[in-house]
Amino acid sequence: MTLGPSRPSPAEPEPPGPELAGAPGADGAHRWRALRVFAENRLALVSAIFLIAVAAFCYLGPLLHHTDQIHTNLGTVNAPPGTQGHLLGTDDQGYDELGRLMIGGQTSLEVGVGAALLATAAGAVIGAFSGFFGGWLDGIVMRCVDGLLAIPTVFLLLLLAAIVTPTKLSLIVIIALISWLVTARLVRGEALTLRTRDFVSAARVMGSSTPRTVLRHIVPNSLSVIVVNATFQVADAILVLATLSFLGLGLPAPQTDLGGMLNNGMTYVYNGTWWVIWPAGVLIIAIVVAFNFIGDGLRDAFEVRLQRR
Amino acid sequence: MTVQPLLRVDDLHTEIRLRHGSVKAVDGLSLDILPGETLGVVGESGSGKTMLGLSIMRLLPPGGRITGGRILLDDEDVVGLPDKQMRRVRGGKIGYVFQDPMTSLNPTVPIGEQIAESVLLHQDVSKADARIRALEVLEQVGMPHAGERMSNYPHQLSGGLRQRVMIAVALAADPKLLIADEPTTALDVTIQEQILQLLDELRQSLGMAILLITHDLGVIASRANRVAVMYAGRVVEECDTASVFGNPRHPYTEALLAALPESAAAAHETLYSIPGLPPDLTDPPVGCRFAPRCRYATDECRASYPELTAGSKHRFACFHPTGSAAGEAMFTKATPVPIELLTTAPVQRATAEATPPKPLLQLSRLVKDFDVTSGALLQRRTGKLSAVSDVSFELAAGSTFGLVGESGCGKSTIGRLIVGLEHPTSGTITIDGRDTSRLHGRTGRDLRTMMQLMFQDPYASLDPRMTVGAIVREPLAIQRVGSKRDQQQQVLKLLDEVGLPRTAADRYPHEFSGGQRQRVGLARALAVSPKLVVADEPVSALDVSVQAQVLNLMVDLQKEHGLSYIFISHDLGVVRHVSDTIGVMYLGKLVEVGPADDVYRAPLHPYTKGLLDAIPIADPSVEATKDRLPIHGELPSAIHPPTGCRFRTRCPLAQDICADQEPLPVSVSGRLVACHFPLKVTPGAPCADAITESATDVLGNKPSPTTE
Amino acid sequence: MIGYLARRIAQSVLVVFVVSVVVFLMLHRLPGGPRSMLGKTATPAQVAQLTRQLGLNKPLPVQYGKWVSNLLHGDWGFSITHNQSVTSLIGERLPKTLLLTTVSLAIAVLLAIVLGLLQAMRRNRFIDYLMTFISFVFYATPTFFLGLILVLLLAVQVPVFPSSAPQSNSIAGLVAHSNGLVLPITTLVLVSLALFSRYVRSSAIDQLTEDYARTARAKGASEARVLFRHVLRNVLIPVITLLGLSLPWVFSGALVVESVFNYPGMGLLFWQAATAHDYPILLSVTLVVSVATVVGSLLADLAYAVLDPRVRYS
Repeated sequence: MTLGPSRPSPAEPEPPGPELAGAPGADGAHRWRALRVFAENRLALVSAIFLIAVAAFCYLGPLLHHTDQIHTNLGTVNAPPGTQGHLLGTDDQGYDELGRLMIGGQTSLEVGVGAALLATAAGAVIGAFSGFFGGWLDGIVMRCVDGLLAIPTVFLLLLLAAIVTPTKLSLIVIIALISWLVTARLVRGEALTLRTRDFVSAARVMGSSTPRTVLRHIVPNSLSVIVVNATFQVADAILVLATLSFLGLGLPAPQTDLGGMLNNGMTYVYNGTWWVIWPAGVLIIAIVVAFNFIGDGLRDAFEVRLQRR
Repeated sequence: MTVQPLLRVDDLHTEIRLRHGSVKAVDGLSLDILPGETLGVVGESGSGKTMLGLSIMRLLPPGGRITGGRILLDDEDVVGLPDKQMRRVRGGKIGYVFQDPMTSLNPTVPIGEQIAESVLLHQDVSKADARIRALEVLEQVGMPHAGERMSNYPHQLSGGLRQRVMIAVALAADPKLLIADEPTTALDVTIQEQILQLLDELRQSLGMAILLITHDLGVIASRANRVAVMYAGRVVEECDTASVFGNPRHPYTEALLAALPESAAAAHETLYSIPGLPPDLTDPPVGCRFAPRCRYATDECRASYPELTAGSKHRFACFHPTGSAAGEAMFTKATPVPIELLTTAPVQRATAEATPPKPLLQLSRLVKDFDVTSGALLQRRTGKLSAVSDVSFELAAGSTFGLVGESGCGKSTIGRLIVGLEHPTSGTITIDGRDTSRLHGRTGRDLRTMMQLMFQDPYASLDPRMTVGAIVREPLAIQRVGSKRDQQQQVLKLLDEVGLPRTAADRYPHEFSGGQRQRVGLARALAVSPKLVVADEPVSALDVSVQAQVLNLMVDLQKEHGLSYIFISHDLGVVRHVSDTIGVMYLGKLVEVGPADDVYRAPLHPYTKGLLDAIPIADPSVEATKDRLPIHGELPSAIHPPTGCRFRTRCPLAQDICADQEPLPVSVSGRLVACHFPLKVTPGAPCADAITESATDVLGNKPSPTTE
Repeated sequence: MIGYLARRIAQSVLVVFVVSVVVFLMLHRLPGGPRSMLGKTATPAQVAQLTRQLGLNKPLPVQYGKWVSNLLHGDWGFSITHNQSVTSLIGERLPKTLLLTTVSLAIAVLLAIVLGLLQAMRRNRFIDYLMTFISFVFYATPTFFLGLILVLLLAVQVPVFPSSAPQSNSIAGLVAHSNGLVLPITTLVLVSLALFSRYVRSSAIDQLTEDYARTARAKGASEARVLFRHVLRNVLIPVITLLGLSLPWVFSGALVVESVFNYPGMGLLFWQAATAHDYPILLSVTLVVSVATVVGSLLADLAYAVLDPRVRYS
């Protein structure tokens, strides 16, 4: 599920120490400060490493662990872990569970990242445009955003999904179609405040054109907000995809995503076949948590960079 | 000393832990506060003066802690006090007034309740009695209609009244000591005067002591009995106010006083500026902290720290104290040579006064109203805020016009109108004979390059994501001046001119101090070789010593490039120093225009006089003999400005005609003043001796029907 | 204050208009268009009647007007699958969903305030990190999975609560079997807890460093007094706005929870309609839920306006 409201900002302020005038003799090291602060956030760093490992598992794993994820094998159904050739057992269609995790993970990551990128790009452009121009244009755009946000996500998704047949691409588009709203609202707010900042006024006094001002000043200064939001969007998109699968609107077999596997496995919850549920469940939770931690870490890193002016 | 000190701070050390390293904010500080006195602690930002106040209350920000020393309140060391007892000290024995009354009061609690809380926490009384006491204190701090105000929320009050509430909160439990940390910095000068007066009266009537912490030497000079000057976490000099200002012994105190614009013998003269910046307190120097910036420094100063001279009344921490006969001579005679300046020669005043030069800029009957809107679908115009009302003046090429007034008087709006950030409701702005309202296309771009803007906040005016090089190059890039290579060359030249190292080009704004950023702003403004620079409060965010550096630079560059300035500031001292002509604004109106020194020495308009009186001068002798024309009350709303003369609601000389007829600007001894009863041109004349004939009679002008 | 109210109400009306247009356009985008509202077995005569009734041969704006006027006259269509009018279906189901969401929201917000304040007081200590981690994990768990885990733990392994919701037709019936409501409500509470507790935590931490909190300490107030007498009020007021903004999200969660526990609310109705392509239900429910969202956030804003003196007196 996507978050309806924009996420609350944790904004953990730096201790308001005495102002230290004085230019530190930095020598390009400042470029790495944000990265360093990010790296100091151990939770975020561990999350990043974990996600890289997950990506390697999903994309490189199939090269080492060959499995058939297209044809069902009703001979070995719900085989427990350790069954020959099936490290994590098989599911109700006889697919190898470990191999299935890999392709399910691929789908989840691809749809998550794809939808987040699309939503962020669209939302950022519309939001920046709306916020910078303000006035009636802004009013119309924002009322439309409000209207779409008022329709609860899952209801809107079910309607949209009823219109379109689910493929990876169509799911990316559908999820993005709903997620851009939050980004747009956020970036618009950012543009609204940036518009009144002195350095934007300075650019206008110099004769800077509107597209130039938006491009050179508004967008780079909103970038941190955009990037942080994009990270959260990935996490939310993966959850939305899972929810869609649960509601029966996910990808048709033999394709699957982590949520689809989970939903599928839940049919057998009373049979004691834990391996068709828990690996997919834990993986999806871990991935979403990791993206959230990274988002938090990025936000802190950016804020520190701006505060240490 | 026979009197037992109320509070004794003994070798106090306070550190603030940061992500990397820790700041030694207070580092071996000792001082005494006697009962009933006002001790002024003065220092620039980063000197540790606020941390001193917060250390006494043990209210240090996260990461801060007292690492050594004692704070004795009535012979009891509060440093080691358990929390529960410490809470009895806070509010009960020591009251604290913070800088910003808007943020320091709880926005969701009525003010009466906030004051009563102080009483409840320290006295064993009922809620009803606490309220009675709260009302009493609120009356004591001069809150008009105190009874009705009790249930008000902070946002319903003006800044000045909020600060009165803040003082009431601090006083409610009868503390023996009041710590006032920059109590008036967020307020306008006329309100500042009222608050300082109130603090003084309360101190006398309640017999409490005040620790007055401020960066403003003028505030100290007018209100403190004794002064402690702080630098880099230590007291460098301490004595009674008259001695510190009259005979400073520490070079830092001396330099600080010399850097004030009021100290310059004549306007436009190069100010003394302290080179460099205060030391980094995460790793303070071994020796005297001021040594790297001190012109008397020797190897001895760099090797060891001079202790405060013990015993004597006038204490200072210096191996080579000034203020002796020799030092005095040096200070007054030799114009100190600021190291960073390109030239020290005073700027020629507006050349050739015989042939008045053609005005570069002309404002004619300029009006700017902002719409006040309401409504959901269609933003209905429900009123207008009159920001600038019928303002006219001219500016000769190569000269400086200073625009002064309190916040909300419309001075910044005029600046924004001139550079085209706002469009006038009516009236014209002509630059070099061309009307700027037709700023389109090619000519528009040409006109734009003639005018540039310098901003107040050096933190907000530079794009944090661009390098300094890119920032300075931006106007050149926008105007497509020369090749990229030429532009980069030009950037280096500009950095040289404003006294920044060329390596600055590759760095980001956050790596620079406020003064350095203001230099970047100046370099950017000068990139397209403008004829006019509108400087909106360019030094008000800077410390005195840095302020002098920037002012000197501005004056030098003016001479070199033949620049004209519109210099906008609330600080009359600064404005007088740089300006040829001063315009005083009040609530959208230009009330007085004239040569800088004349306006400063002999104001014609009662508001100018009141404004001048309210500004504390860093000279106790002047402060003591000031003949004041106090401005009472607060600034009226610009949405419904008063009829007739807009100043009449606060003017001590107002009569019926002031409400009926708007005074037109008339010429009085070569100056323009918009007042029915302008003051006599004799300096220091009693206020009542106003010129009684109405200005309309003098000139035979008919006043225009009031527009309101 | 009055101006603020008028502006917010006008905005809400606009938003409802936008929602209705979106829903209306979707009706026309659905496979088969509005005619499929009749189901697959419709006779040509029925189709012709619907065409006339909805004015399908007229231009879109006219059709929209007709549709809105039908809605306003209580003609919301007829559900073939339930053999019942849409209005009576919704009238039956809406209160149940409102019961589920309001109870869950109330519990979630109360818990979040307690946890958030606790975390703010114990900032950057072990308990803070632990609770942050747990709330993130709950947030990251797909709602249906969380529901299932709860069923496994509390209905199968330790059979304390029933695994599905009571099927009563009335609110009173639901409340009478409140045992069956525990798991659905718990699921919804846990997934929304993170959203609120993270907010309360960061907001309280912010407020504790505000100048007014320092003023309270300077008066001699204890840390607990600062938190409860001064900071709490300023933390809670914005939580109300967050509450309003989170309504669409909560309704989404409710849909999934209702599906998992077979709880007879709007969400379940909607989901079943989606699988059965019962368009009259799909569209009406979307509209009703959206209007409920808009009204909810309007109420939240009004509450905000009443509680925040800065809005109340301006």
